[in-house]
Amino acid sequence: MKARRTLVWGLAGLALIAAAGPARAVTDLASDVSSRLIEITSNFSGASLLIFGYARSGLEREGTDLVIVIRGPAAETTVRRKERVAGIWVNRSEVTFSGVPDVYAMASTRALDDATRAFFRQVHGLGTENLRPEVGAATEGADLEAFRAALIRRKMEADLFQDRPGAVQVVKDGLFRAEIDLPATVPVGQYAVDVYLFANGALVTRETSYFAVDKSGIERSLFNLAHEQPLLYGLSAITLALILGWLASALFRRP
Amino acid sequence: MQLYLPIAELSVHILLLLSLGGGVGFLSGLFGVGGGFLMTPLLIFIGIPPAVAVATATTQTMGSSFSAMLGHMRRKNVDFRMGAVLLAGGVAGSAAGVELFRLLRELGQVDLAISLAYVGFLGTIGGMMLVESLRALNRARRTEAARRKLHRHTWVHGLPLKMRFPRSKLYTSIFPPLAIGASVGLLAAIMGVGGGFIIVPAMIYILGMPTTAAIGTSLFQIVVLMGFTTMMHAYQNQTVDVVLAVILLLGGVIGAQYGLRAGAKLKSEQLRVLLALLVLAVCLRLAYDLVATPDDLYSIAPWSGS
Repeated sequence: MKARRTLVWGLAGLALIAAAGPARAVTDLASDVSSRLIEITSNFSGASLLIFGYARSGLEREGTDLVIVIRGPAAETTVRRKERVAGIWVNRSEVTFSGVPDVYAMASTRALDDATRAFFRQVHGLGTENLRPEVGAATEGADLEAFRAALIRRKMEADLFQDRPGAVQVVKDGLFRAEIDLPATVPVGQYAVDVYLFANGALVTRETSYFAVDKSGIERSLFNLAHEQPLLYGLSAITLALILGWLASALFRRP
Repeated sequence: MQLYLPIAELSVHILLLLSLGGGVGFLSGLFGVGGGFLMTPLLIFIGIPPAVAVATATTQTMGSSFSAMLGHMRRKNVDFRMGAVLLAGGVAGSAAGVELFRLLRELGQVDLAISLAYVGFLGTIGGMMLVESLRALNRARRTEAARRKLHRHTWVHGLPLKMRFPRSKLYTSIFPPLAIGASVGLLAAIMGVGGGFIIVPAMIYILGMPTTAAIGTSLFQIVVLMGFTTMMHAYQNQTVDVVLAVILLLGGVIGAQYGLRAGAKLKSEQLRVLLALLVLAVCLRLAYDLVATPDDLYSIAPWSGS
């Protein structure tokens, strides 16, 4: 009896999936990243990430566009402004933003203004100029807009923020790919890749995949040791320095 | 080959680091100084976060000073008793300095403090050395210097709690060495320097120690003080990058040997003039950065949120 009921429910479920299939197919979007784990090893000098996928509706049609956004782990970020005090440049005012992704990279098929409507850009934070981090603590009288612009400018100079219109290539039919280079300074953590499909400037659907950046091997062990066993780490550093010093003195000792 | 530094969290070319260590090592071998005062600004200049640069230069200085100290120990130039008194002051100064460093980091003023401390000290020491060594150079040219007394006794020797230091041929109150030790400890923590360029002149001119004993003893106190400061930085700030320290040491110890050989060919007054000019050049460079209008007034604070 019980087995039979399960069977019935199972069949019903299958039928539902089958029914939903064709309806979803119109907007079906699939995407993935070339690497689920970017490992920071001793010779790490940045990583190139390939984002690829398929849009069933095709991508050749006029007005069909893709926007890809990579967002790194969010953190509080403090921006400081220097002022001249007695002839010397000193950090005087600061603003702390919360929810700022450490890394933000946008790639699209066309210029964002052509591909998307302003509403969607603002709601989904597409493109660095539409990033609106929350303001936490701020020095009184600080020009928040200037600080926000400075945050984005400095991040872009470090390649941690990128705007890459035209970087999404349509290979053929509905196949697309985009390559994004991440600098050597990428922080460790979880990253999200959102692929947005637009038709005539309106958002049709979105597909998200994830990857992680992590220190691996000896870099990970050393970092962990430094933070979890600071005493042991300090002692090892000292021992190592003493051994090297002794070796040098012994090797170069005049006979 | 790019090398990823696990604590500094960035990649630097390994040859750049080796040549940096080698270059500073060459100069320290040439002039008989630890070279920390050059290493820290250079590390900051190539993009290492200042906090990591200071802490790691501390570790590197300890290794290279230890190497030099072993040489001086063989020649019996190390006054361990004097070293111990200096250290008693030094450890207290260093602990205070690491705490001050942490406070400055929270206030966002650590870069400024490091730069100001450097400009102040390098400017003073470099200027004094230049004047003194130029005079010595002139004197050497004219006549043989008159035979001097071992050292002149001043009021500092007469303070209470007197102690004998046979190796330094001294009988003095322990307060001046304690005070010298403490101020150098404070500098060590904030500037990542051993303070040899301050403590050696202080021992010679204030305490009246013989030059060789001053150098040997200063090396001993630098090794112990830098060890202690490394521990403090590792424990409180987690800013010691051991990979960076090892690469710098590798380059440094080799460079130092070539520096020693080059130094043997020059007169000591000439060496001091050159060292003074070098110190002043570093000072001017740092002063320029403080005064010149930065390209961008805004900066992102390193390591926020963690």
